[in-house]
Amino acid sequence: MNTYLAFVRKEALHILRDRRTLLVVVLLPIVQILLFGFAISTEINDLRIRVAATDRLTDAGRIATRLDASPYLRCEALDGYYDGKNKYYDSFSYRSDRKNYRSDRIDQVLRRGEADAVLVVDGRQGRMQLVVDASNPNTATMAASYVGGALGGGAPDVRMLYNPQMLSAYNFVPGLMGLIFVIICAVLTSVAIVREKETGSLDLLLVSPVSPFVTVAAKMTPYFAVSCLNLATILALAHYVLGVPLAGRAGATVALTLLYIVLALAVGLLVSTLVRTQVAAMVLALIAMMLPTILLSGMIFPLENAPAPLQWLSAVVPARWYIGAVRKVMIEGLSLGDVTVELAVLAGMTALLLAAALKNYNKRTD
Amino acid sequence: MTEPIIETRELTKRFGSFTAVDRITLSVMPGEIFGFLGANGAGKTTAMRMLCGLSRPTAGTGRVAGYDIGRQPEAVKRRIGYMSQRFSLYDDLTVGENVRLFGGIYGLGRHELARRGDELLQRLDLTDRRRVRVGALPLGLKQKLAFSVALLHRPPLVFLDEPTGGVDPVTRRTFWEMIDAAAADGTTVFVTTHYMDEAEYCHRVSIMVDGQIRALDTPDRLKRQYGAASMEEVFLGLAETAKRSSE
Repeated sequence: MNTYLAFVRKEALHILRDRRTLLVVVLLPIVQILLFGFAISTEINDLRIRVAATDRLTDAGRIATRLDASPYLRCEALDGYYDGKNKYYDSFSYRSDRKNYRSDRIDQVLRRGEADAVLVVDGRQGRMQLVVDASNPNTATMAASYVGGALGGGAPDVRMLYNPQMLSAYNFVPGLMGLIFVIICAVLTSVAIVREKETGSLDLLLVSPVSPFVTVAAKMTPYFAVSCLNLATILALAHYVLGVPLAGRAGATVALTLLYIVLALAVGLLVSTLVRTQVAAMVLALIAMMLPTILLSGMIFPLENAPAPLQWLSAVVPARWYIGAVRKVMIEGLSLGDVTVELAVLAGMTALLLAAALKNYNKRTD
Repeated sequence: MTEPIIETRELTKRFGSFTAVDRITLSVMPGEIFGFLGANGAGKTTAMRMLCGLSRPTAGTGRVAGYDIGRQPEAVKRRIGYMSQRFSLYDDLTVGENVRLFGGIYGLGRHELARRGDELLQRLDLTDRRRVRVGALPLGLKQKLAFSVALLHRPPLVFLDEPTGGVDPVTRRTFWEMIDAAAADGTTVFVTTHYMDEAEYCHRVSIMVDGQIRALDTPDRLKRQYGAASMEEVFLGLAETAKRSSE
């Protein structure tokens, strides 16, 4: 026990002394959560809509008011101004050569990026047309559905479950958790162990009476502690800053995540037994863990859209099971009993990885 | 008659079809300074790893500090000290932290550790620099500290793997004074080196060529046997017969 504590102390000191590692483990989760939360959001706020009326008979002013009331839309007259009190002045509706001018003008506004979409209201025929800049299909779809929603007429009454405001935070927080623990646990531990291989200090540890198991366990302990700290930070930020509800299942989320952390540590250990240099460890951890976690876990790209072979491949990506389970538990409020499949898969993977890693580790000492 | 502290018989290590260590037989007595010489690639490191319990012999037997290296490597590890030139102490930890770590690894109790640690630092005149990171110490001092740390748990036998590599001659001389002092206290020193002047300081030396021990005796007798003026000549004469490339 003394030995173990001496080791844990040493590893903790290594982390504290290495500014780069320290920055990564402490700031990375915070920066990622905030970055994804506020900067890299897939939802679009402040879509700029211009309203053009073909003549003075239209109720363009009323329509503009309704659009402007939506928090996602900012509405202005195409040319002219809107006084905020249902009075809508549209300079271009007085033009005589409307027809040509109109399409040219709309084109111009969209090309210059002055607006994301233009709503043309034809009062005589009681029709409306939305002209959208579809160079970014994502924005275009959003604009169309926001405007359709704001106008209400004819649009189906859609009800969003679990995430009524369609906040992307609900989607990316579980995904980011899947990624962050892979980085902290798998990448950093493998690099930490391989660094000792590179400098030769691993021999010094192996030649001591300390069993390899204690050495490895002690090496992982500080990273495990850091991960728990990160978990607390992430959950707090997600809940208090991004407003993710946690659905009253914080305990289940924590339990799931602890299992996932152990799994990631096992991956880091396995990687470290396979390579000799820190660079190789980094690359292997990156290719074996981070890329699949980003691409094949459903974190960013929905797996349902992937070709069948990639979907099969994703079954071996731990993050896929973890992220799926966390979404269910954290966002939908299911209990651990509802994610037994994911739990079983993750536990199985952990056992396999640990067994493989320890077997490899012992082989090395031969 | 006292028991040898290291005794091997036909100790062999093969990696696939490559025989790194080829049936070496040697014995080292307590308190002896034993020089383990050989060109790079001759099999020194592999042999030493087996003696330390790091690597399992393919064939043959070896006993170190009274335990079988193949069957009781853990018992062997508890009774030896080890220091290598390549790595000895953690640069990012302070002098005091390194001492504490290695004391802890070898299971010294808190009070025992504090007492021996203080004593060690005093002897090396490092008491004031207890909080200095090891990386900031001059190499020679670092090696002396590493040697002292390797002896912290008072092992009867210490393995030194090229302990003076890259160190200036003056420091090497004082380092060897420490080795002599340790041997005088009864600690057996098993040392590899590429410096032939150091080989002269050893009580006995062995010279490995192509995985085999080609010569084993006191430096004086070896010089006489090979009609050489220095250990350097003895070594070069034998190393030239190597068929294995040192690369």
